[in-house]
Amino acid sequence: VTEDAADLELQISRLLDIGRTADARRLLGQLLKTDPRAPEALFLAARVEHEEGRAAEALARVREALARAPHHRRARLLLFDLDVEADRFAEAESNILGLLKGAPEDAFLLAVYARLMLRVYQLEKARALVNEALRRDPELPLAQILDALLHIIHGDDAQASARLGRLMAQDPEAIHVAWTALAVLQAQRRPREVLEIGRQLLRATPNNTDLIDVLVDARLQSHWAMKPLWPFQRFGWGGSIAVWALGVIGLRLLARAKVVSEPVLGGIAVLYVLYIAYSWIGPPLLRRWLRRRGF
Amino acid sequence: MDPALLSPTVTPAAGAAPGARPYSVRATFLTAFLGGAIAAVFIHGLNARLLRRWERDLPWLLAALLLALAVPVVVVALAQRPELVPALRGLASDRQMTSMSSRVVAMLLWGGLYLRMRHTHRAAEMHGDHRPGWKAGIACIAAGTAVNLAVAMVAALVFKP
Repeated sequence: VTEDAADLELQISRLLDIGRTADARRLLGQLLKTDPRAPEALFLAARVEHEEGRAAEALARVREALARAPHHRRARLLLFDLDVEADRFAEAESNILGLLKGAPEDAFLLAVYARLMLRVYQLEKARALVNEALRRDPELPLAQILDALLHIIHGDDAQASARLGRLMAQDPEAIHVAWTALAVLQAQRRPREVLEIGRQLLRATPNNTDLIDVLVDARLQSHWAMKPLWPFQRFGWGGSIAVWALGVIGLRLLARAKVVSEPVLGGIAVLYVLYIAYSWIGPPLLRRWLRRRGF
Repeated sequence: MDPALLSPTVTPAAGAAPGARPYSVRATFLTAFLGGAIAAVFIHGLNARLLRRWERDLPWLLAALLLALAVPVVVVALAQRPELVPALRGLASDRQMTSMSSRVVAMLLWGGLYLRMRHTHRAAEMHGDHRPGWKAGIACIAAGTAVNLAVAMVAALVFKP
């Protein structure tokens, strides 16, 4: 690799890291002119395609790179990402296990494998892999993020918050810290804080549709029109069962005990039905309105 | 490190592969609410299969199915032979009360089976990863209703006054 090519590779890589894909593509053209078959150039071309959302082209490029350099670690990791994104889990696993065969002590690879296990809902194995990765490298951000997410999944919000605290102490500005904070706050049902952090994240990644969904949901949860639906928000499906049971059984008991007149009982029944109807129709309508109006 | 950690888990075998999207909590809840206890067990069973938890959850699913099948038997038995449990004589003659009790059992079974799978459901929610549950829900409701009717008919013959 000539000095110029190495310099170009470094520049493209940095541009991709900060999301300037158009500039990266322009420089990539120059790099490919010098040697269109160089594995590093093909890998960077795959990264550019991946960043721009062209999965098929990215896959073709990364396979070309690996055909020339089968042990190119970053190309194999990119292939892993592409396979996971396309639900080709068996291929992704075989790839990461191949990498781990050569470096079974590598904490980062263990964490990457844990991410796949989390994705395919093998939660016990994901936890064991995360623990192993953290034992080897307690500061590894990916392992710490996965640790926080697994704590959230197991309903252990205190441990998730503690892990988030350690991540923030390490690098408070990092974008992965903000994403982890978002997940922790969502699990703790704190929509106002989710909205706050989500808005900052949206400035960094304005086209992220998943984030927009999260923000709309957080705005919905903290909207005044949702206040009457507190039992559903607070207790989820348990709340739905409780409201149904209280309503139906309560109305029957009222009718049997004859403590209120029939017209009053009818009125209460109508109010109950309206409340249930609002709990079904209200949130989707409000979500649609918030999406259109902005949040 | 346990060497089993580095052995493959995702293998394209018979049945669903790990990572197959489950039916959402909402889909299972509505199926149980509208279809009753047997439908609740069926939809949870489908999810257990999709998530490759079949073997782990089978004893629980079978126990829940037995309870669900007991509902129409008890309802028919109490209606036709009220002398069996004199304390529930009033309940058995009240159709609304029996249907509400059946629904309460359905909700309890749904809740119990949900608790077993809640971590997986939470992981799926985190990934925004669910399959549409309309067809499976309707199929489970239909199958649950059919099984319920069949069991009730058999129970009616057994408990003939």
